[in-house]
Amino acid sequence: MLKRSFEGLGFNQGDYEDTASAALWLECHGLGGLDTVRRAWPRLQKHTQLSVALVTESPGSAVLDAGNASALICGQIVADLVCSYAGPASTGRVELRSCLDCDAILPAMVSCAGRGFNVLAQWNDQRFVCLAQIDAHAAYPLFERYPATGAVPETPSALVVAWRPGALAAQDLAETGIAAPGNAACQARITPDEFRDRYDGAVMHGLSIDTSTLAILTAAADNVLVEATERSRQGAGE
Amino acid sequence: MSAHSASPESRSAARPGDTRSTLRPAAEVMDLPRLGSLYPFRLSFMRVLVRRIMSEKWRIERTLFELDSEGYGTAIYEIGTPNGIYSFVAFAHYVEPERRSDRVIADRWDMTATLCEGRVDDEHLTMLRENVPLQEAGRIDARSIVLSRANKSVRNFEYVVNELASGRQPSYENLAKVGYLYRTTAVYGSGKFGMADWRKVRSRHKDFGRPFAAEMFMCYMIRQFSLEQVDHLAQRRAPGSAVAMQDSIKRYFGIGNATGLGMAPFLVHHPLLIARWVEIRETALARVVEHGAVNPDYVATLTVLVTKAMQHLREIATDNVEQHALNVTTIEQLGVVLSWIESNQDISSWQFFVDHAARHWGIETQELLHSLLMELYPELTDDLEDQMCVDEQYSLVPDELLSKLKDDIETHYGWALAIDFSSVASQGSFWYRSREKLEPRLGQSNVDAGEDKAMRLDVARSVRRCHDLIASHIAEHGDCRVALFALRQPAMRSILRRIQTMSRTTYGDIHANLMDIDVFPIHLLRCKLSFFGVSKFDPRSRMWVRNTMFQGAPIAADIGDPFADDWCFPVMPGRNEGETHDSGSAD
Repeated sequence: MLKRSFEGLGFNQGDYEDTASAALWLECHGLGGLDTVRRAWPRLQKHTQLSVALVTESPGSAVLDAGNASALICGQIVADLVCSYAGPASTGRVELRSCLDCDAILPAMVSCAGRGFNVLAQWNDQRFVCLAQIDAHAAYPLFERYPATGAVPETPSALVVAWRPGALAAQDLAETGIAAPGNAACQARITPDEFRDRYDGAVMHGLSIDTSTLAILTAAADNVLVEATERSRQGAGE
Repeated sequence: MSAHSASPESRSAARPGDTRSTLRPAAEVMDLPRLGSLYPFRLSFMRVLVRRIMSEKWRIERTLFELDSEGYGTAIYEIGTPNGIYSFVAFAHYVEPERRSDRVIADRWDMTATLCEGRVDDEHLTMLRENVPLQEAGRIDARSIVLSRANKSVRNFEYVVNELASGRQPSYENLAKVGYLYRTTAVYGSGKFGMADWRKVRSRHKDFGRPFAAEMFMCYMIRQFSLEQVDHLAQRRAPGSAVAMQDSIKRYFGIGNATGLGMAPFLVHHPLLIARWVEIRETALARVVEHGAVNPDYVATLTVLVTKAMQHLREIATDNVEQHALNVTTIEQLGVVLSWIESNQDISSWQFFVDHAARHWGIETQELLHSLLMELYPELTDDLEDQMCVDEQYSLVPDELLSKLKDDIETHYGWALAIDFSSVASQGSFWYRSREKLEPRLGQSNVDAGEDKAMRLDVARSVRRCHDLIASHIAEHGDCRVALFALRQPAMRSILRRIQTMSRTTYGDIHANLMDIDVFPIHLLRCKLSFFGVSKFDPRSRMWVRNTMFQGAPIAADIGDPFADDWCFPVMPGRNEGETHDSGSAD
C-alpha cells in the first residue's frame, strides 16, 4: 500500500521502494512512520524526483545537499554512499545537509549494518540532537535524543560515519565529530532490545492506521489505477 | 545449447555435505517457455505439505458444522499439529447463478473461509462472520493467516449430491472431466486485509513457515469441507436412502483453482524467491542425475511412473487447442520413451537418459521426465524441502566499480541485451492495475488506455537502459563506484539493486521480455503453479488457467494410516498398474 502510494505520487521505483521501507521501519519500531509520512506529505508531493546534490567529495567522505527533501526518500542514498567510502582500515563519512525527517536515517543505518559495517550517526533537526549507533550485522540500533543546545543550525543536517569492525581504534572515533552515546542529558533512549520488542509486537499484532492518513495514502495509490472498461476486462482473460 | 553442455553459466550445487552436482545453465532453465513447461515434483509445496500432515499425524477435527438443508451455514475445523492449534472457519452462502464468477472482480462466492491461529471463540467468530464473506472489502486481524473463497462446480456438485442421495456412488467417468466440487478463485495471505504478516507466520507458526504452506493448507481444507458438505446435503435430502461417499472416490476429488494474471507480477517482484525455487528444483534433479543408482528396479519403477503420467495426461480435459496438442504430443513421446527404455535396459546413467531426452523429445516431455526421475530418489531430494525460503533483500553493492558491474550485466543479462528494443513488437504490451480490485491486466501499447500508469515489470528494458547509461558514464567520466553512479542516476537505483543482487544467484532473473506484443503470461502462471504442485492445466486463454489441486491426495480420514506418498500425477482409480489406493468401483 505504501509503495503504491508513493508510486502514485510519481516517485521513481527505487525511491518509492526506499521511502515505503523507511516509513514502515519507523512505524514498526514505534517511531511514528505513518505520522512522519503525514507530516512530510506536502514535501513528498513536491519532491517526487530525488535530487541530492554532491557538494564536495574527498577520499572517504562527501557532503550532500538534500534540498530540504525528507530522509525517508534519501536516507538509503546516504547509506549506500557511506558504505562505499569506508575502506578496510578507514571510515566512510557522509554529511547530509538540508534534510528533514532525519529519524529515517535509522533504517538506512540498519542496512549498513547488514552489509557488515559499524555505524554512528548524529542529526540535528533544530529542536533535538539525535545520536544513533549500530554494530555490524546487528538488527537494531541504539537511539538517543537530546535537547538542542548552543547554536541552532540554519537547516537540519545529519552526519553518518561507517567503518568495518576492527578498522578503527576507539580513540579514532572521537575524531568523527560525533559524541559518544550515553550522556546524562539524554532525554529519550531506545536500546536495541527495546527496538526488538517493539518490532516483535508490531509483527505479532499488526499495525493500525488512522482513517485520515489511510484516506490520503489511498487517494495517492489510486493514481496508479486505470479505469475499467469492457475492453480492459478482456485484458484479464475473459 | 544442449541440456548439459559446459557453459559459463553452468553452476554447481554447493551445499555443506552435498556432492557437487552440475546444474543446468540459466540460459536453458530460466527461458520462459521452459519454465512454462514445468510439472509438479516431489518438492512442490502441496507434496511437502501432505508429507508433513501425514508424517506428523495432524489432527483435523470438525468442531462446528451448522449447515442447513441447502448446505448453507458455518463450519469450523480445529487442526492440531505438533506445534500448535489452528482453526479453519468456513461460511457457505447462497449465490444467485448470474452473480457466480471466478473473476477477481466478483463480490459473491459459494463459500468463503479463513485459517486462523488458535481456537475461535464466539466474539472472534462474530467478527469473522461479518468480514470473511466480504473478502477484499472486509477487514480481519493478525490472528488470521489466510483468506480465501471458492465457487462450486455446479454441475459436478449437483450430480454428486443427487447420486449420493439416491444411494449410489458417483461414477469416476462422470467426474473425470472436472475432478473437483469447488474451485478457489483467490487465496490471500501475507498481511493482506489486516491478516498476519509473513514475518509473523514464518517466525511464529513453524507449520506454515515455508512458502505458501498456509495457502496450500487452506485449499486442502476447502477440499475437505466440500467433501463433507456433499455428504451432509445428500443425507439431508434423503435421510433414508443416502450413502456417504466412498473414501476412494473422495481422494479422486481435488480442489479446483482458477488463476489469472494476478499471479504473474509476483514472479517479477520476487526474483530472489523464484531463483531459489528453481535452484532447489535443479539441485534435486542434478543430484538424481549424478548420484541416482541405475538398476532394473529403478528402471521398472520409472516405467510405471511414465505409464501413470501418460494416463494422467489422457484424463486431462481441456478445450484449449494448444494445450491439448501439447498433451497429445507428450503422450506420444512418452510412448516412445517407454519403447526406448525397453530397448535400452542397460542404461548406464541417468545423465545418459536426460541427455537423450534433451536431444530427441520436446521440453514438456523433458520436464515431465525430470519430475518423474526425482520421484525415484526421495533420499536424494527431500532434505531440500526446508530450503525453499529466502530472505528477500535487494541491496546495492555500493563499492563495486561500475566497469565490473557493466561486465556482470553483459555476463548475466546477455539475454536482455540481445532484445531489439527499437522494434515496435518488443514494446507492444504493457501491464497495469485496474480500478476493479486492482486486478492486473495486459494492455496493448498505443491502443489501450493506461500506459502512463504501467506496472514496472519491464526488467529487460530497464537492464538495457541501465547498461547504456553505465557505458555512457564510463565514457564521459571514467570509472567510479556504483554508489556514486546511483547518486547521479537515482532513477536507476532499483534496477541496480536488482542486477547486483540477482547476479550473485545461480539462476538470476527469468529470461523474458514481458512487454513483447506476443508475451505469453500463462508460462509465468504455470511455472509458479508447478511449484505449488497443481496438475491438469486447462488454459482458458493465454492469460488464465484452470487447474486442479490435491487430486489423489490423502483425505483427513487417511491421516494416521500408512502413507506411500505416491499421489502425484493422479489417475482414475483402477486405471494404472501403479495405483496403490483402494479402487473399489463406484458404479
